Amino acid sequence: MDLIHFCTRLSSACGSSEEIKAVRPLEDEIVVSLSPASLLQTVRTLREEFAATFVDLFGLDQRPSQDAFQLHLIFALDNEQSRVHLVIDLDTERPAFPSLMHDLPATDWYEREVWEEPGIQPEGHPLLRRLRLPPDWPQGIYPHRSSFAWSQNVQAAEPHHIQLESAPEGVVDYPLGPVRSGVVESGHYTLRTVGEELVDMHLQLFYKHRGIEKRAEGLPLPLLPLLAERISGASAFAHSLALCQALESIAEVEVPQRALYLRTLLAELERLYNHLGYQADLCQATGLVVAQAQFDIWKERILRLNAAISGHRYLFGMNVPGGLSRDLSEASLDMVRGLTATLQPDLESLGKLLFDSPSHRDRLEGTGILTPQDALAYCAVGPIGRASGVDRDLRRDHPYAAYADIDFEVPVLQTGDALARARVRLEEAKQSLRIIDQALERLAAGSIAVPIEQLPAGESALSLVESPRGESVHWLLVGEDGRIRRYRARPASFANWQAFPLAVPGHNILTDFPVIEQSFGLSFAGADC
Amino acid sequence: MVFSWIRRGLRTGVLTTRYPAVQERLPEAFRGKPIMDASRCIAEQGCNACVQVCLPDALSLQTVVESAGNEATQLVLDYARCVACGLCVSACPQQALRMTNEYELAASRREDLRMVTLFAPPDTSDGENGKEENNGRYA
Amino acid sequence: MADMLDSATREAGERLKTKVQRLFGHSLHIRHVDAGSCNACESEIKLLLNPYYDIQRLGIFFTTSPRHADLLLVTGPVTRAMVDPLRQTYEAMPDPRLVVAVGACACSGGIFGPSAFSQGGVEHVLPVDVFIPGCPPSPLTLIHGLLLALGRVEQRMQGHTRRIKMGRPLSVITPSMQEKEAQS
Repeated sequence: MDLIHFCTRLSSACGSSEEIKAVRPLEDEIVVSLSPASLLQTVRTLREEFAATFVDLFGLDQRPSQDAFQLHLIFALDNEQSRVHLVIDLDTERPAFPSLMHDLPATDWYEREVWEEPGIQPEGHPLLRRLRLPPDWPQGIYPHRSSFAWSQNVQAAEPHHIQLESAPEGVVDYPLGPVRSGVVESGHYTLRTVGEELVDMHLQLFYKHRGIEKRAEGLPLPLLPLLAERISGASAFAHSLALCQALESIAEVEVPQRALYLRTLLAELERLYNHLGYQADLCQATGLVVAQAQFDIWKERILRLNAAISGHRYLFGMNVPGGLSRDLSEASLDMVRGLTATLQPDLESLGKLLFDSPSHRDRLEGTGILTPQDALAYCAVGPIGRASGVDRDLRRDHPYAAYADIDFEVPVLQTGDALARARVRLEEAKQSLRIIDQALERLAAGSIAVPIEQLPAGESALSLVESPRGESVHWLLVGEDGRIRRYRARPASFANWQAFPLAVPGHNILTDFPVIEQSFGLSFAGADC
Repeated sequence: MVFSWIRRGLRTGVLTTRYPAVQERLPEAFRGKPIMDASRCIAEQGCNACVQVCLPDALSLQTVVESAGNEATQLVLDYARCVACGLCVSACPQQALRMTNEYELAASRREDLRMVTLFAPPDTSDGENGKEENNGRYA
Repeated sequence: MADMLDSATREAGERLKTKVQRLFGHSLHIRHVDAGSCNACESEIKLLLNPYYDIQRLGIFFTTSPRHADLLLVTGPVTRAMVDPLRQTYEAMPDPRLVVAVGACACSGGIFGPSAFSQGGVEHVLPVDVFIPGCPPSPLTLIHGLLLALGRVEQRMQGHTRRIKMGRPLSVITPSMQEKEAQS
């Protein structure tokens, strides 16, 4: 990465060299401090000249240590395997920045979030409405400001629900949720139909906002992974891995080789049970009951393997800052080998049988198409993005743990329909088996953790991990007391839910909706956080 | 096509557990329920290692004043809050806490999930003092 | 095992049994509501229908309508936004109805506790008949809990207060929860 060229190009794009205040190259990360005035132009330059992909946007209240609010933007430079981190200091009296929505529709939810939680104004945002905070949250109370305490008593205000404009003649609105059919997570959909055809939908999430980012503030080090795991239980290992990697980066420790390979192995086990459970859920939506049972059986087998090797069915408690909390014995590794040996041929035959079943295939083909243009505009990540032509996978583009040393393919399809999403996940499950085999082969003896005692005050670190649903971002800032000052967690589902309503209209009928929803396979808990 | 699925299903055989007719055993490593041997506990000497690492505050330590007017140290293990993370087991310097793979944890009253241990000062009224009461028995 | 339970627990068990005997011949229809869980509890609940556990063999089914439900299964610490939907679901259920809290979050708020964002457990919103601890409780734990709600298994958990008399006076005042809060 030619740093000089990068800085020159950025400064000239902003028109004045003073607007870029500082550039600090870290390992794989370039931190650029700039003023709000040069934000739009900088973002344009990054996207057009450097092919940067938008990753995250969040706010921070620096007070009382410094009298300022800060806005953070993160972009990924996949070609360079590095990240660009923009830090913008904002005025304390009126913290504001120019909205990026016109260029980048994906920043919609992020800007609404910084508007309501730290209270930073995105100027020019077309539709500022509540996002995460519940309807009875009073105005003027900002949870991400330093003055707000986790256990503070917040009096309920008059509930303020979002009102949709009423449907015109001949159009019917179906409200579904937040308590929905089946054992599913809580969230609300309003489906708008003309006859049988779906013409629009409105998505109302954030019924499950528990305030995890705020909970992390001031917690002692060993307790942080417990919090990260419970952002979304099905991606527990991925989230705790991202958190621990960020802490290890801050503490500048090197995790032992054995731990890196074991982390890779466990992360892939998590991806496997998620992808197999996903196929089961999709078969439930299309009514292929025997297939659902077959995939559920495999999911249960992997969960039982997890319990036998780690003590927890969902791999909670494995990641600690500095490595792993426990080693995997030879007996455990043999169990893993045994499982992958039986799963590999079975997955081939199951997959073939599944996509050759006309009843299943018919319902998936051409349903819920997310076009490649929409996927790019809304920065869809993970298998959903890859089914719509977005060729990005953090394990390959920004390798972490032991992925840099392992061979695997990243399946990408262009059609963007439900069939593509199901195929991509099945292929990824097969690749996961390949990765697990290689990790087992290359596993050497050694320690599994290095101790981390103290965190240096004022330091921060970013960590990106490919969870089963896609790119998950974790960022930590250490306060003056060595405890966490600000925790930012952006699970993959938060990014992907924004793209979901775009896949619903367009030759889909009402009964296609469960298939579309299950084909995305997104997590509400991850988005609501 | 439908016969292929039926064949697969039949080939899989019967996997269903016979619980509760037959007791199932979970793997040894499974984190089900932590138990405590109060005779090893040194909370009354000022140790609160387990309390410090308990995120859901399942373990808590208070000084209570009993009806007789004397002070006692109360250690509470509240299973309704416990997430079975096992951090307390590693943190205890006396190995007073142990993780088991028990899974029949449901209760109809909230109080049935609270295990309270009172470290009371010596009492001349009923003879026996010291920690013999609970020696070696995890509960 | 039954004789080890104290009288209060036995009474509660009897009350539960009477309630349940009014239910039709021991089969059960469950309505689940997610009040803010991390999804691990839901995953375990869904697995109850898989061939390994197959709760339908025990006469337990899931229903989508609260009007047809006998038991309300709640996961999550009850976030602010879910308080009303949860109450409305409970009120839509006809008597006799049971409420079961699944997981540490539903039993007590778990790692979230009572806070500005959630209620700290289902019992702050609805009367709970059975608490099933765990994070998440495994399917076997769930089966035990559901059968306990039906009066078909015995309860194993028994709360207790144990007195350990010290051989010497307490010389140090032990730190209380308030001090621990202040330290963190």
